[in-house]
Amino acid sequence: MNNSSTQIPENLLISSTMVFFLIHSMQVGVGILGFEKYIASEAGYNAWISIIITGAGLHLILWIIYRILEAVDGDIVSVHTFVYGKYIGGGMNFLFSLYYLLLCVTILRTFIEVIQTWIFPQLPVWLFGLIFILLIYYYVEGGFRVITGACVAGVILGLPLLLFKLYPIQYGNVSNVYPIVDHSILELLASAKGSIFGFLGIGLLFVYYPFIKNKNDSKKWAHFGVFYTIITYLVTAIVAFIYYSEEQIHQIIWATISLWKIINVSFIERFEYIGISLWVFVVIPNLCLCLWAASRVTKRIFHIKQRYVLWIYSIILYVAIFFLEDRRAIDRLNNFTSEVGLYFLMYIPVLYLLVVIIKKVRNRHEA
Amino acid sequence: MKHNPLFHSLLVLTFFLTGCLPHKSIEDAALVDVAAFDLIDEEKIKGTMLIPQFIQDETGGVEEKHISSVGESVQEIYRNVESKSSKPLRMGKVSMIFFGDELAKKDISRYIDFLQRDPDIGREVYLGVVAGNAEDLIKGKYSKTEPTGEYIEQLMEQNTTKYIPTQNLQKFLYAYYSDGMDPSLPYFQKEGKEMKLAGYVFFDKNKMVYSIPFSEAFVLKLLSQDFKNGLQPIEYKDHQVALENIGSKVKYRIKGDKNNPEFHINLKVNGMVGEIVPANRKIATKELEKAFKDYFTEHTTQLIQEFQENNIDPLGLGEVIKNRHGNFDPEKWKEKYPNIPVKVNVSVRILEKGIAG
Repeated sequence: MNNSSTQIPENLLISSTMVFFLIHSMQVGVGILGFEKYIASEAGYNAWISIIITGAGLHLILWIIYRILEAVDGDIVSVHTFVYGKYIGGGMNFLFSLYYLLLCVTILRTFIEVIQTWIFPQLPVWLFGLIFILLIYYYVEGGFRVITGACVAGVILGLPLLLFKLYPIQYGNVSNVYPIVDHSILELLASAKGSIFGFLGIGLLFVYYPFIKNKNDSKKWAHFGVFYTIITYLVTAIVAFIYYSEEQIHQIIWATISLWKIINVSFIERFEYIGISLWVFVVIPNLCLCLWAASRVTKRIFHIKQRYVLWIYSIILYVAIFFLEDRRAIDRLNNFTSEVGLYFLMYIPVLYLLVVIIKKVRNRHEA
Repeated sequence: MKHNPLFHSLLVLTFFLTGCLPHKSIEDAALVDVAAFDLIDEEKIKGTMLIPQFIQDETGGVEEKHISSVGESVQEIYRNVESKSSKPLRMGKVSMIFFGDELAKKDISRYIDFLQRDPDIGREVYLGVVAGNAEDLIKGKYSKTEPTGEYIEQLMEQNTTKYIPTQNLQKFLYAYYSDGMDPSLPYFQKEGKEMKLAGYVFFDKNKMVYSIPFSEAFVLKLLSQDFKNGLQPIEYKDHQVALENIGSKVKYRIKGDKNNPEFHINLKVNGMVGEIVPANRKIATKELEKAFKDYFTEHTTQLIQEFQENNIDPLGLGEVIKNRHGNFDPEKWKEKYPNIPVKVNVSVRILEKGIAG
């Protein structure tokens, strides 16, 4: 079943521990800066329960992804070729590639918007887009191991910001998260759907799986990564729910950043500037990983050099962010990406079933 | 991996490109320290900005500049003030914002949006209502050594730890938007050449409807939060006795069923005798504890009754019901609120009597 092109030379592999960072850093990015409003709009302050529901679902999906990849022993391209054959499979792969690129566009444009509204309203998108894309290109050019390094750096640099979550609690009302459930299961699920954007990064495992040295050992690290993500989101949401009143949170676009505003340290009046600046290190690995995955899938379909794909995709990325001018467009893009991402996650169990069935059928034929 | 020199030079170039944005350095901006808004007529408000200007000589003094302007919205005032200023106005350092009481009685909400929308404005900004004209208050000079803005901020900070509930922009917005709570703000007054904290005012959503004097604010703080500071003097059998608060705790409990809730507020105060006038060593601690317990019970109960009569909920009883019982209906609650039984159980313990017996 081994596809020769999924065999990666040993010196390009990563150790299984790194999967923790890859999974976690891809899930904590721009989504976490403003997801509170979306989850609270459906389930109010019961929305923390939906995060736990989402978390359970994610662990399940992660388990399925590993089952699929183990069964085929390759990446998403091998899986799709195995299931659908060369042409339909190729089409599906190309869709996946575009999906990763869409993620990249969404993250980049949303983060530029954050910088525009919070720090430099006059900032031209072309300038910042250019700086960012050159930087990302530089990383991706360095290969997967460099991107993994960026992920590790991103997770570690983001850590101190988590500590500052303790500060706003003293201004809030802890009983806001009193465990009384007054929303229906449907509302909780709708709210879970609202939080999905942040968790989409899990799907990239489909692309970098062949790069993991000890694949079996990496499972536990991947689950740790998801678990840590859920804890991070849970703490973030609970702190926001304590700090804002339920009707107030609907007014706030980036609840996590607004929360930094109350932090009062003697050497800087506006802590959110530090937060947003540090967040660049958190967002960069996201962008790199997405762009790398998008270009790698395309490379594997058409058997062309990854660098050429990277050039084309970088240009598409650059052009795409120009067409998203205002808050409404960016909000729509985020909703669209979440929607697509949700279908993508729902597709994974279907894919698993297909793999299992086809494997059975072929085994019978061979027997 | 091959390195492309053109690519690298582009990358380096981007770092220089960042200089293309307009810079905002402190010397080139008029940093507003305190702002005051007063109602002029039905439509227009007058805004006054206090801008400290640092004198560049060896004295290092601060000159205070006041710029006033009239407009219908805060941004309009902002623009008109800029038309009188040589430097662009920046709100990043604003520490306190005052509203005249006329404006607070009419509708404060029209001037709040600006405060929550502008990313420059912090959340620890203090808000306050002024008896009479807010402009006069910030135009006063209260200290020879401190600039007025700093003086006002420290006056607020000092009193917040002791006598008035913790209050800032975030707290105000929290209560303003909440269905189960009404906002409240400290109340200031200019008296001759001094400014003072005169009390506390309460809003019904966006309109100021009720106020208490400064002497009652301590009781309000006891009901609002746990803290360790401040003092309360009372009269006890021809003596004046003062109790220093060294740790108070307040807990809200709901008894009764969903349709007939009943609030029990448990308030525990640990204190230290600060003063007995005239000096009397024979007063038993137990008796004093009883006297303070009676005082706090009476005053807290009365305060809550006043809130209920005015149908305002600055303590957030609605929030408590909402969080504990769920399925909260703000309109029904508003109807029910004035008749909800609220009981305050106070316990006072006097732990120390200072260093004199």
